Amino acid sequence: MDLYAALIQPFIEFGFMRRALVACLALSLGCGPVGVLLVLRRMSLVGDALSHAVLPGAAIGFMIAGLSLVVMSLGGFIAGIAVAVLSGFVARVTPQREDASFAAFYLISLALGVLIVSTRGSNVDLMHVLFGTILAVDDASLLLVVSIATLTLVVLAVIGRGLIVECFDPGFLRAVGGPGAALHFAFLVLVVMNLVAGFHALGTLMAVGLMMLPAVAARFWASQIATLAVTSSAIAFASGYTGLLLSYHASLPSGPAIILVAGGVYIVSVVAGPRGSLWARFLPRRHLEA
Amino acid sequence: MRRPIGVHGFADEARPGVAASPLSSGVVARLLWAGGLATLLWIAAAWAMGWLP
Repeated sequence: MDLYAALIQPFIEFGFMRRALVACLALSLGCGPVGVLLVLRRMSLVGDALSHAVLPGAAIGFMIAGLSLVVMSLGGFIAGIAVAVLSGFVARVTPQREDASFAAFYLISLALGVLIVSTRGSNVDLMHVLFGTILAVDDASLLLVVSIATLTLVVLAVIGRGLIVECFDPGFLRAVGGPGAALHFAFLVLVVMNLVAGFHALGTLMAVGLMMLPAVAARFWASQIATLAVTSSAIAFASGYTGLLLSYHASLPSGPAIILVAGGVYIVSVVAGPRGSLWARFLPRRHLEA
Repeated sequence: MRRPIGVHGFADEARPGVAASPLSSGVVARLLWAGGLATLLWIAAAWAMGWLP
């Protein structure tokens, strides 16, 4: 098998591979910078919780309209926002911390979602909702994913600086009159939107994979925020491309293949990345000499 | 001409004498980047959906 047949031909020959590849590109452009901001704001596990929180809304959408793209997306978006708002509310009016309330609400959401899909649909439907099928992304789903990525890029261009300032110095943000609470809510909306986009391709259980794994891997390769975002998006797209090829040539399920490739990149980054990796920490380097 | 505002290394890209918010400076450049990336993404999507000849 020559290189063209191995690396390019599947995307030229088959429309479903082309759509899956562009869906990966869109998810990379949207999820890459959002994942970096989640890591910087110490909200990595909140992303995971919100990805599970999408499930009951999508399940109710499924119950109402079957596997309808619009209704399931809308339901997932509403459920994700509801869990984010409820968790924040509980954290503010009770002594409980926000991570604890997120954990409680996401577990309730996950159980509720699985219950709804199991009672109203078949096992195939449940597997579709939980694990997604990126190779089954049709034109309508691709348009949704690309639209969400576009909106994410534009919104981050406008509010990204405020979000970064809030990460590092919320006191300064307040001093210059920055709307901290509004920025935080807008950011949560972006996270949920991107999780809904990822949910169609990778399912609710792995939607957060293309958001978090590239972002945490990028931390070992870059230190500037813009470079982190670019590195994160590049790792996400490379993982998507490689995972799709692995899936095609070795007949593996595509979603787990993509996430495992991203996981492999993370392991390599932990071991051999130039910034703070095991290699950089434990391998003695030469002292500078005059 | 750029002048630093001296807070966490954020540069104020406004001209001297023009008040600029440290939260919004550089927004036009970032929007141009976002617009460029989005355009490329939509071209790729059109290719994937068979809309391009």
